[in-house]
Amino acid sequence: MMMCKGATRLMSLKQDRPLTFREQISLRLHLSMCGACRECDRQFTLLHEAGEKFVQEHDPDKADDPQQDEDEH
Amino acid sequence: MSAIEKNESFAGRSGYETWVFGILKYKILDAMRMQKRHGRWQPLEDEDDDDAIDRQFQQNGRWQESARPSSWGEPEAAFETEHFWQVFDACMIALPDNAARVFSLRELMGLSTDDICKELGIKENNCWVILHRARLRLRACIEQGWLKEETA
Repeated sequence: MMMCKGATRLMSLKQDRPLTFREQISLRLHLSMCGACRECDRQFTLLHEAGEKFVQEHDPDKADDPQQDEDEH
Repeated sequence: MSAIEKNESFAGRSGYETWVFGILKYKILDAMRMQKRHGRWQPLEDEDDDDAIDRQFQQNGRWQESARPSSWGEPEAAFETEHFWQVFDACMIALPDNAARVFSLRELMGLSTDDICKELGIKENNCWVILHRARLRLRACIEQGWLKEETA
């Protein structure tokens, strides 16, 4: 049974690469039972979105194509 | 200086800020490559060796009561608050150097972890460990500095 600390590892990983099927299942199971981790998951996503917002506004390489990062995964 | 070398490709770009931002990316990569070359890069394979992270969790892997994440509200509302970005800045500065650099390359400059690791010649797993720690530190710092003040 995965605990909160292990769940945050998957939440972080999710921002950097697609999770494997097994990882998705165990994260979903944990989140369904843990409100604190659901908030943490939202916070990691918010940090990611904050970065994307920043990138779109400032980065010359990405400014013309904000989707580029998604396509690489 | 790379700032001057890049000046030519700047012609016609959208602004000074964008230009500086482009240079910053190369500066960060340079600094990290240099560090690695001089053997000062500390590989981080061990997930369980970070005091700042350990303080957020109990021995059994559950959240410490004092560190339990609470809601930050709607992202759009947060992004529109000047105070959120001030706290975000302050928390970025408080990160350890390598964590701040890898996090900036990944989340602010939008490089993939694959690219970051190729550039730096480190294992991708190492990047993921660094980013996991950086995010946990940032979330704790932002929650303390921003949310607690907003509701005070």
